[in-house]
Amino acid sequence: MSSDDLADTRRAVDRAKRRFGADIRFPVLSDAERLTIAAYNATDPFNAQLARPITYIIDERGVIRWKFLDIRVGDRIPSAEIINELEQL
Amino acid sequence: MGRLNGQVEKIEATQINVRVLQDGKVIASVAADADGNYQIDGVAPGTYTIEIAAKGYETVSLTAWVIADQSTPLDRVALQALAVPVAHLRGFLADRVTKQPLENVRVQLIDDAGNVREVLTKATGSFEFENLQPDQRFTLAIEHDGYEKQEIAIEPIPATETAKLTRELVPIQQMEQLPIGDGLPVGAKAPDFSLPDGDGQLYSLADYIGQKRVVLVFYRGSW
Repeated sequence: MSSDDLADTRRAVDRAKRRFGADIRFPVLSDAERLTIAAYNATDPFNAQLARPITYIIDERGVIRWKFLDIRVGDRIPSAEIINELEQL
Repeated sequence: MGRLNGQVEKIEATQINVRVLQDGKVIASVAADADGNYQIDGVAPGTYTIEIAAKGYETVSLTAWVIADQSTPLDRVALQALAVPVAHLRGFLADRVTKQPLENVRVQLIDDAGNVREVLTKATGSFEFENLQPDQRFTLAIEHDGYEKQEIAIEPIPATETAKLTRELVPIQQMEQLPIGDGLPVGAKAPDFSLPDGDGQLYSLADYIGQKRVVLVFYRGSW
């Protein structure tokens, strides 16, 4: 999820498909109003237009069980680490 | 603060409950001792209704005017046996985490017509609703600061029987407030959302709750 509008979100998905040569098997959501980004306290303190890269694992009860905050803009938590956390919870 | 005290003619093997109400709300609840004496300390000056109740006996209401720093003695009361058969409900409330009994929890019993009776739990965590109409459905509503609300459907209770109920209240987690942009703390409830993907199809977190775990990734977008 990002603050991109529908068109930019679609472009980002198309770009990723071309790059990886495969479908993306999870929804990529647009929060152009940034209400959900604010609700998850993920608004970038230096640029309110953008979300900070935060990853959450939410359990079946709707409770946040794990969180990772990427400090540097370019950093992302590798998917393998998220899967590892999912297996441990 | 003032004090209330009084005496009830004791009834063999029957607990007598004394409740202090102000404007229909119970503010204190005690049981009379073995000799039928009761005392309630720390009552703010004002007018109160005192309800004296025991299983199978007619409830007596008294009015009391409490004066600061004084003891207000109430008339001695003798409860009369009820002519009609009644049912009772007794419950016990504890904290889910600490397992300790919860005192002074407001418990409301609501009948199908919407009539509300309320009591407070005692130091032992117990509460009683005496002299209910038998074979009638009720809803028990429990609301207490710092705990999640509970509503419990009470099945009809046969005449002369006492239904028993034990419940644990779930503390609402006091979450730390993280600085802006640092996200929500682990243990917090994930806020629901309903957002479109690039094709306009809506996805809600609620669709996954109870079914699957969700990995939610915020990214910066293509700015």
